[in-house]
Amino acid sequence: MLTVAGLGVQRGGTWLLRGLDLAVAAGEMVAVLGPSGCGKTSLLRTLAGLDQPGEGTVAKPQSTAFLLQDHGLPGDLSLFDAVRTGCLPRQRALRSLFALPGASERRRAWHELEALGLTGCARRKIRHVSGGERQRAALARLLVAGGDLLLADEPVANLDGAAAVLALGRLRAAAESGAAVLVVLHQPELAHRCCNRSIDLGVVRDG
Amino acid sequence: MGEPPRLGWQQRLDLQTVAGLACLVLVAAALPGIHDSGRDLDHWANLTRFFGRFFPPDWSVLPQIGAALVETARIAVVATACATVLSLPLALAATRRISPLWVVMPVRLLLNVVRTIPSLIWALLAVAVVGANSLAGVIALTGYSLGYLAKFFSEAVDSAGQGPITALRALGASRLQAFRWGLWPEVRPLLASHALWMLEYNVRSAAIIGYVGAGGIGLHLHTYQEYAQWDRFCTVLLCILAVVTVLDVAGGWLRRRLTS
Repeated sequence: MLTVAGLGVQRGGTWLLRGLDLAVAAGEMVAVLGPSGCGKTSLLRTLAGLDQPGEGTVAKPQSTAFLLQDHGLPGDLSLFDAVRTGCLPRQRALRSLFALPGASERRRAWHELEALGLTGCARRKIRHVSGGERQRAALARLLVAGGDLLLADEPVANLDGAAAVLALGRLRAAAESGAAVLVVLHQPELAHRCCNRSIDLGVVRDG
Repeated sequence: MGEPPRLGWQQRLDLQTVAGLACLVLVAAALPGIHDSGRDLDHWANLTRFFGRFFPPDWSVLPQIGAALVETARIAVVATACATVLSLPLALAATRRISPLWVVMPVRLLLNVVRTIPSLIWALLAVAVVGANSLAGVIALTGYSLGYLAKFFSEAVDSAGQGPITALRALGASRLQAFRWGLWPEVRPLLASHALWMLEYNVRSAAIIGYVGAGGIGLHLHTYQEYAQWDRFCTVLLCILAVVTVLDVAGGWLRRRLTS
């Protein structure tokens, strides 16, 4: 599903990664580990197309969804509406000027909120919910958006142990439904518990 | 433990200090150019005699003033609504986040020109075109408000965070969708707050543009001033003060709720 060959990632003229080969198949969930500054976020941004690779090739499916590290949920939307915006790629641009998608998409978004334990704060504005609730809402939005390739940058950084396992479980379910999932984590024990395998960019870079 | 380095006087001069000193120099240079009439007048006696004619206010004119205040409020409400709607596309055209440079530069120049014209001049122009009536007042205040609202709105768009837009684009949303559901929710409270502020400002302006025939309570002010009926003039001022105070308190509360 995702094939990377000889990928090089630069930031500010400095090579963070060079010669990276990576393949993630449909149905697989792979964790990306490594120390701060080793290029995990830059790698995901490059795979998502937000940044250009310095060298190498990336072959990925057209429907790719990326959850950024800082979530980017608009503060003035309700948590439910913010999650529903995950449906926008499937809606016609002109129609979405006036309203978010209809009944079936609403049910899909609500299902993700239920799975992540967010129904109690669904009507509150994003600026009035906690950091952990915001993070789970951002993950819910990624799952609502869906796609053949899901990229998530530190999706559980603000969550306690149980909530993190629950959240990663939802990503694992998306993988088992056929998506390829690549997730940046700081906790090797979570990677070992929730993912099929992991790659350590610190080892890749030094190796 | 080492000692922190001592800064020389050149290093202590930051932009704020230099700007403050420059302002002092400007004021000191401008003051000698301010002149009075040159006659030996007792300014304080003139002031007390003049304001002595204001009190007590003549409350018998309240019914006429009430009707004129309603007209003033209508002018302000309609003008603010028109200006808000018209300024939105101009604001989007004036921000680099949405529009290319070749659109932004001429639009910003246009808005600068519009803002340069005071509301009284707008009123004179409008009265010359449509006559002395409340429509002239609406046109005048719409033109005047347009320049300010478009500037406020474009700055609100410029200062909004890029995060929500990038996040939606990263999920596969189009540029239009990212603007509508990423940027618009962030700037919408600010736009509402600016429009509310403009409404308060327009109520004050609408009270004055009647001086040149553009409707509202300004016509009463002009009439009472012409006939030196200062007690009635004072009544009008007090009524305007009451309306503006209520708007200020209510508007401030609403603006805080919108942007909290």
